[in-house]
Formats: sequence, structure tokens, C-alpha cells
Amino acid sequence: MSDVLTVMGIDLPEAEGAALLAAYRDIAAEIAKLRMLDLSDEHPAVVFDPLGETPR
Amino acid sequence: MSAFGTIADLAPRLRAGDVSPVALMEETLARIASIDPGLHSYICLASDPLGAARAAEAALRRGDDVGPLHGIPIAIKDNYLTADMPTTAGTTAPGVTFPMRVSAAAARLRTAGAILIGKTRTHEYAWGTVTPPVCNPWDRGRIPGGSSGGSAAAVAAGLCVAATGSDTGGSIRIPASFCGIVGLKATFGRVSRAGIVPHSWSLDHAGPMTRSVADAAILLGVLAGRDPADPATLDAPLDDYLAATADASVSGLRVAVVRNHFFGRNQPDVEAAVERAIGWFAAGGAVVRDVTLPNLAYGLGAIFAVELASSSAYHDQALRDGRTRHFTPDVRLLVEMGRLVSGADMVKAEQFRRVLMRDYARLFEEADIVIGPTEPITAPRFADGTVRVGADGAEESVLAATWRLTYPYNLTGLPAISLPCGFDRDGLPIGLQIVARPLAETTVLRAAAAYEAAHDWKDRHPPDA
Repeated sequence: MSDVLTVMGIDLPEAEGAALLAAYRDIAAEIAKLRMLDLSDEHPAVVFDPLGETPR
Repeated sequence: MSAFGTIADLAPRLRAGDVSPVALMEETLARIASIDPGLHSYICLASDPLGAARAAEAALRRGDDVGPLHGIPIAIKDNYLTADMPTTAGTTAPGVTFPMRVSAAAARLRTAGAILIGKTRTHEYAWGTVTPPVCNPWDRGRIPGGSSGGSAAAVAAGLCVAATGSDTGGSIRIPASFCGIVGLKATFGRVSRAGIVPHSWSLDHAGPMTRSVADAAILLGVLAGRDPADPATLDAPLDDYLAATADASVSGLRVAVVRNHFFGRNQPDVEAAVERAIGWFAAGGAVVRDVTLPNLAYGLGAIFAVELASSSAYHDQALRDGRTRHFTPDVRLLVEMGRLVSGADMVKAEQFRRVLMRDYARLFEEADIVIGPTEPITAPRFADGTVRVGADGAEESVLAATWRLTYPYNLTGLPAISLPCGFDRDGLPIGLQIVARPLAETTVLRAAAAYEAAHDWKDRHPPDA
């Protein structure tokens, strides 16, 4: 499992990494429920504004 | 004068000369000196609040009435930047400093005449609902809630007239519920967050914490409005929020009660108090109907993805240079966990928010407000890692329970208020949450004011305060 953290660029001592992954397990389970939804046709709530930083 | 005066009562008396700003400040400072060593709600006081009160008094004598909060002592949560008081955002990590400049909200309060009396403690980086070392004024062995726990404790104990909070998953409403005060999170974008230490940009709200609904309306009137410094603020007309609280009635009001998610997993005393409140609305002529929103079952995953990932993005540099190692263990873990949220999960959460917002939009086609509990529980003890909820006493972590009923309104950005609706068998406050469609703060305030006026909950105060 420590390989997962390494690939993601998370550099933690082995015990802390294990604790992090263990703590994330419940959160991952909730996110897994979200993944079950088919939202392919749903635009995200965030809308990009190309004019946002351009003086008008 | 009462230690528990409200802005609505005090402001006209200050202007009329019946109450002196200096006397009000002296009494407030005396109470802080006497009570706060046992509560720890303030992290620092302003350098010369009494001098500011003298200046306010002199201005009144000259006939200079600078605004609706003239001479009112108001506390500021310690994640709002201020130019004359340091900001820590609740962290003691070495190497972390914040600019000495004023946040938009603090500036607006001062322009309205408020005296910023001090900074109140927050859970570190507004992450968490314990807010150590702040104690709950109703029982000092219990948490005040968080992350705006210092503000809630100070307001409840009469250590300021009102305070500010910030709310990413419930951080205004949770401590308001636990401490028996009013907490208002207006529509996302109503109140500028410029100069507030970010937690999660698309979930963060700023708002008032007060002893009455009318005071929340007064402060919203001061705080609300477009601010170019906060790109999320709305360019929408403002309403007369205080007027909405006068002679409020619920007759004909269409009230929805979301029976899934918000009921069935509450402590019995909480559930009973909220059912009594629902009964009061029905008896007052409101049209109450039960509804369900099945998509709420996906909300926890969505807010985890957005809040954790956003917080980790904010702290990314600190994660890489090791400063997060000095955060408290609970906050460090949360900040580190955000790096595990995938980009696809984050975007899917933002897609889901649209779905949930549309569900609520449909609900509000046939309802004016949604009511339910703010919290499934009353304030837990400091040592409680878990609480028991529901008729079967199922065990749930304190962190999971405390934001379960509040985060849906951060995902949707809907205006939501918490106000007291009773006490449990241990004498701890219970919160009622009222929600309305976007920008309908007047509807929220009108319903809350009507309920408040018919009960004496706001006139009850902590026993030792």
C-alpha cells in the first residue's frame, strides 16, 4: 500500500502512511457510493470563466 | 444593564443616551475577566476596547451616529484577518503567519460602528467541531462545537453582544446549536469571505452568531453585499432583513420536513423537541408536509471530496515543506487525506452538487422553508469520541454526527439558520434549523423570528454565566 502513497507523491513514514490509509477507508467508502451515480450528462457546479481575470 | 442585551435592544438605547458605550464595554470586559478564564472563548482582546468605547461615546455626544452597530462590542472569529489584532486561525504551528490587514467583514462591522472587542478561538484552520480549549458555557465538561466554538461560547456567556463565524460544513450552526444561540449562514455569496483564511472555497460561508434572530438580521444587513475582492459574492439586490423579523407570522407558510437523512438518527430528546417545533408551525397555520430527498445518501461522499481536496490544495505548500507536521493530529490527518481524493472524484462531487441543488429547487416549488434539527445530538463531553443516536442507540463518531445535518446546505449554498428550540434532560440546548431557497434570507428570518417570539428559549442563559 505504501506504493500508492509513493506514486501520489505522499512522503510519510511507513506507520503514518498506514494510519493515513486506514483513516481514509471510511471516506473512500462514502466516495465509492458517489461513484455509483451515472452523472455523465451533468455539468459540474464549477463554471470556468475565461473573462474572469481579463479587464473589461 | 443586562449582560445578555441584544443589538436590537441596545442600539436605540445607546443612541438615546440611556446606555453608555463606555459602561457597556466596562461591563463586557469585567465579565470576560471574570468568566473567560474558565471558558477560554477569546484568544486575544483588542488593545484598547475601552478607548474605542470612549470615542464612540464622544461621537454620540457630538451627534455623530455612525451606524446601526454604534458602540456595540462584537467579537471576531480568529480566522478573520484584522489589522490591529493578530490572526492565528487556531494554529500554533511554527512558521505560520497571517497578514495584519482587515477582512471585508470586519471592515464592514467597524464602518457600521461596532467595536471589535477581540478574537475568538476556532478549531485549527476551521477543521473540526471541538474547538479546544473552549468550554461549553452550559456545561464546562462539554465541547462548544466548532469550528466557531469561541464565538458561540462568548455570545452564550454574555462576553460580547454578538460575534462572527464561518461555516464550511456547519461551523456556524453546529456551535450555535450546542451553545443555545442563533447562527446564520446566508446564501453562498451573500457575505464576502475576503480576508478570511480559506478552508474550502466553494463551501465557505461567513455569517453572524447572535442572541436573537433580529440581531442576526441586523448583522446580515451590515455584512451582505457584493465585494469584488471575493469572486463568489453575488451581485443581487439586498433585502430589509430586520423588517422581515417584525411581527412575523407563519400562517400560510409552506413547510417541508425532509424525513430521510434528518430524522430517525437523532437523540430522542432532540427528535422530540424538533417534532414539537414542527407541531408549533402547524398549529400556527403553516402547511406542513413530509418529503424525502433520496440523493442525500450521496452527500457525505461529495462533501468529503470537495472539502478534503480543497483544504489540501490550500495547505499544499505546507504539506510539502513539512509545516503540517506541527498541526494538531486530527487536522494534520484531514489535510493529508485530501491528497488521496482523485480529480475524478472531486469533479463528480461538483456534478453531484448540481443534482442536489436541483432536488432542493423542486422541493422549493411547493415549500417556502425546510425545517429540521440542526444537530442530531446535544453537546458531547470532551472525552466522547462517539455518541449514541436514534431509538436503537447506534454509535456514531462525534465528527460524523456533528456535521451530518448541516453539510447539505454547504453543498447547496442555501440560506440556513439555527436557533434554540428547547433543552434536553441534562439542560443542554437543542437547535432548530430553518432553510429556504437561494437569496430568501428574509423567509428564513421571518419564520425563525415567529418561532422565537412564541418561546422563551432565547431568554434562558447558562447557569454560571
